[in-house]
Amino acid sequence: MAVQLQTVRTPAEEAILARLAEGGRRHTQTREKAVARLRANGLPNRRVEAWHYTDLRTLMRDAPPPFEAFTDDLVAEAMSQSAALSLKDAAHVLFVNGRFVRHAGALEVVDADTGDQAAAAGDAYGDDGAVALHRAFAGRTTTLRVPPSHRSIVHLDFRELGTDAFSTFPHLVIEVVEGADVLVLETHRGPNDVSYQTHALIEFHVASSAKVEHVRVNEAGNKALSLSTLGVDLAARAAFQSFSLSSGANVARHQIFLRSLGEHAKIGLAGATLARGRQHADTTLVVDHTAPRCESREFYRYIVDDMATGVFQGKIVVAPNAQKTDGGMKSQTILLSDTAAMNNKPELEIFADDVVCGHGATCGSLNENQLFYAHARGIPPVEAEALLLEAFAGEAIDRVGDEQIREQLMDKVRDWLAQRVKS
Amino acid sequence: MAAVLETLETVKSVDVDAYKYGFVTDIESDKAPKGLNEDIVRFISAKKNEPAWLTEWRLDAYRRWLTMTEPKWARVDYPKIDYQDLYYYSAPKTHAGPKSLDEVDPELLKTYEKLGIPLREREILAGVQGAKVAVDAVFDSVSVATTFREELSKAGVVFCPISEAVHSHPELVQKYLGSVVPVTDNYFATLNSAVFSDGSFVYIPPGVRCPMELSTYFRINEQNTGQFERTLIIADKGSYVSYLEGCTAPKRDENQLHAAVVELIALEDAEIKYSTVQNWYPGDSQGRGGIYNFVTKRGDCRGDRSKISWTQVETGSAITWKYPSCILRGDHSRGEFYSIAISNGRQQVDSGTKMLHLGRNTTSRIISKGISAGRSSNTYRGQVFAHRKADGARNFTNCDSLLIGNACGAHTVPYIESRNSGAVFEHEATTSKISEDQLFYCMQRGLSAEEATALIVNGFVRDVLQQLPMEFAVEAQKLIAVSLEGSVG
Amino acid sequence: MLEIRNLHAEIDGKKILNGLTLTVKDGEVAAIMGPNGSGKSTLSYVVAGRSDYTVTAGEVFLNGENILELPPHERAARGLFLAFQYPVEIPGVTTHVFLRTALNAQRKARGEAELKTAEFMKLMRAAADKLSVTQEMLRRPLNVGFSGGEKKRLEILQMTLLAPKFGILDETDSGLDIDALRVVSDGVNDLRAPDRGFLVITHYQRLLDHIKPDTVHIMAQGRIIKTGGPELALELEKNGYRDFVADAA
Repeated sequence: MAVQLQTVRTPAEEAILARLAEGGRRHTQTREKAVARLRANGLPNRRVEAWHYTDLRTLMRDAPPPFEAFTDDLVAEAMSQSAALSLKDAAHVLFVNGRFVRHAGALEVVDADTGDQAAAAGDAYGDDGAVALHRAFAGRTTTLRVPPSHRSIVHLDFRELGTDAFSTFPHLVIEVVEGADVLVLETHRGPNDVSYQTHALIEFHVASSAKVEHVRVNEAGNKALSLSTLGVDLAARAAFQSFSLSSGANVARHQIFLRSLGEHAKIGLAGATLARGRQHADTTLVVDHTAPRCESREFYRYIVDDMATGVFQGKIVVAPNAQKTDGGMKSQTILLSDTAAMNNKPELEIFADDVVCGHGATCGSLNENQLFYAHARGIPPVEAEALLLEAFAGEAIDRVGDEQIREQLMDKVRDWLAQRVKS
Repeated sequence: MAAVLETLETVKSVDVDAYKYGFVTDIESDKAPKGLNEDIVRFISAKKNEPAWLTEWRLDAYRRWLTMTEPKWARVDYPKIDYQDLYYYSAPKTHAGPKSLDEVDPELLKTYEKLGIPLREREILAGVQGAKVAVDAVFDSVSVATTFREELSKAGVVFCPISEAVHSHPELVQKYLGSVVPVTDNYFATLNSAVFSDGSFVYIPPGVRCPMELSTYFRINEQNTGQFERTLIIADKGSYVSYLEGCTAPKRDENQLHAAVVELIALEDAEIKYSTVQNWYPGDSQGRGGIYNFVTKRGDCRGDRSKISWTQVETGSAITWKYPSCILRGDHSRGEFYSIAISNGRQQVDSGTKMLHLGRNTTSRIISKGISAGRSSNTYRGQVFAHRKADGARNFTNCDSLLIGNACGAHTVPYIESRNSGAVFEHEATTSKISEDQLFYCMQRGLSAEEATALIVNGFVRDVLQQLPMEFAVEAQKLIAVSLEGSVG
Repeated sequence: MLEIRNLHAEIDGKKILNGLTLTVKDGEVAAIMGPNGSGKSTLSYVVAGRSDYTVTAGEVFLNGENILELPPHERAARGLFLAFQYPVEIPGVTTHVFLRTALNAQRKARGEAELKTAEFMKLMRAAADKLSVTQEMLRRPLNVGFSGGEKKRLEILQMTLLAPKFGILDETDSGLDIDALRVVSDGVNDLRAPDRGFLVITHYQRLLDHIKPDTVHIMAQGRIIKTGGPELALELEKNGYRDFVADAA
């Protein structure tokens, strides 16, 4: 338009800006930048390419206040409940309503009120609207340092508790030193019927030859808006694997911004998303190959039922000098209902010529031949469907290296499918 | 590595300046003053003696255009276009609605001769028995000759300049113009709606299989002229037509704007095959000059079991912004998009398609082959969408990119959106380079690095070339070699 | 005649050929045998001009002309043919189109007239029949989806059509069953001529039962360590490479 269109601010945007105007937060450069960004652009919306399919301006009806009322009772209550997933021999790091509470096990953990940590991590995702919102409100940073000794096992246990709407913005930095080997389990669980909002920003700095396996399980409550940003920097010969099982929250968006900074880094990202009802589940990733001879594999599976919407956006970037990059991405979806929707955007952005990159995406319903075969063997339709769906999600879960976790993830898929059969 | 390097060096040194069609024809022309306002729009309309409804339609488009902004989402980068610094109307002066080719300015005919014979026009004119192709030639903005009219009219086929169709078939034009690409569809289409000066009009009556290939030949000649042709093709029930479009432009230091609109309508059981070989001037190796090609092409499979197939070979233009699309409205209708997009020098291509599955059991197929060389940027952007009601929709997409040299970019941006569990979408994309093994194998058999590259590239694009009518395919194959090697002539 | 003098070559800084000297006269069939990693395939690549190998010393003469400075296609035009151990797939390029393009490119380079389509088809059909290459195969993209045997037969078909002055067969027997081996060998034997030499690279004796060599050379660590008549191959078959290689070291 000749006249610049001034978008009217939504109630959520008004609330956010009003709260930021109240002050009381430390002034840091990172925060100032984030706040200015929010003022100028508002919440990410469909006009922003990366948020085209997840319009926060529409999906975020309101902006509940950041949670402040931390009490001993709250922690005690959290501890009396079980985590979304359990892991033997893990150093247990507990977060309640976004704040680091305690940790058990041999691990160096520093929790501090340091607003500038985010900026120090580099700004690969500084342009993201949701990250700006996080930076505007986040107060503390929890830093974990993984030692180079034997394999470390860490459980990041995020619990949300409460009955009134609130928001949380936890920020973690995980430093994996040279040659270290770590398994990081990240679980999220929160109450149903509470419109809370949470955004965990977790940054991994993986030094050369270090190895990380990361598994994320999101069981946020059914009214929750759950954002998650994973920032990963990989040095030479580092290996990073991440798997995400997403079945919770009303609106969920898990974003991964990964950069390979040194040669021969190895990247494996995978996920299974189960969505039903009116859930909206988004996985968005950018794998930025900035160094030569790195390998990345992405493998995502979606099962979308009822009136739910799935979103997968995966971008493989190969910088001009990142020769010999080997990148492959696959995303596959099964839609179980005529009112379910899937939006798939696998992108290649290639600036180097000596590369092998590709992606594949499919979307459809269950394979009729396979179903018929199962029926012909005497398996009733409902069970046959469940069997095939379990196998479909299972192929993504197979990418998880840890058997203990894999078994529990499969149980969760079975539970989800069992609920489908019941209803 | 060295063999590849050598090839790269050759490709890099490719003289895009050696553009084969870069001559200017010296013909006096009748131009409207520079700039755009309501008076210019009225002037264009008056020049063509248009009915009031069309003048109003244009003015409405112009007014809406004033409220719009240029789209910015494509991966193309160009200096701001000064829309007031362009001519919006330019006609060869001798043009007075020729009834036959004898009346056409011989200078013009000479131009077509110089353009080579992609359309075998000279043979046709000379009465040589070759492939029969009816040609409508559009020079700058005005349609100057349509061959084979009589033979076509015997079959009931209407093939004429759209400016003429406005008078001879007003009911068809009024009914279908803007019905596929609405006036406000996008910035460039709206501009076109306001100022389009000519283009081709085709109507195939029910049950008729058009007896020959129809062809339009576009050429931009005048300096600082925007070309805004408008094509409207209607295939009535059960009819079939194959339509070819070729494009060239002279070398200029300034960039020239081209913003065309093509609308296709296929009614029940009808089929339209639309092929383009686009070879507008790409600019020189420094990126000076060249055509800005912002084109809106869309087909509407309005009737059940109708079919629209787009095939394009894009080798020219400094900027290409083009997404020939299909609206699959009729049940069992089918859309196809076959594309070869080659970029070299500093060319920027952002092209692809949209397949919108609205009807039941609709099918579509997308085969896109992108080749980037030099310092160019080549993006495939495509959308596949299944509506809630599009039960049984099927799409298969295959996008392959080939990179030649390490200063170019190849990008793939598909949007795959399904709202129906009965729809099956499959998408594959790859990016790679010509392998050293393939080059060495060919060279061991006696091919030079350039010949080997051309051969391998031709293999890479073969699936698409096969979709072109034979005489076009041969021409396209040569064009590909020229675009990549610079071995002009 | 192929004459290789004191050839040294390396790839990625790794020395593969270490002063290899070998002469194959017109009309002669020479066999090179050697253990894996002795540099046999490298030799064929270097002679044919593959650019990722660096020649650090030595000369290669084809009929008296040093060809080391020539790009691969000019060596081909001068009559050098390499039958690849692993023929390369080229999607989208029809086999017969490739054959015609190659033949005409070579003819053109030699200043000969290009063949008309009809002439070429006749030539190709005749050669194809002899090697049991079907017309259907010739219509398929080059080597794409061909079996191992089909690929090797096609290599010999190309050699027949291109009628080189000198042919190098790089492990042409690998991946062949006994029937295919016979077809391929017959094809090669048919091409034996007083003005044409062959270098047959193989790991096993069995190919040499079908293509009888005049001379046999044993290669190890990038050079020829022993030269003899056909009996040498039989000796090798019996005793293995170990003794020879140990002697050389």
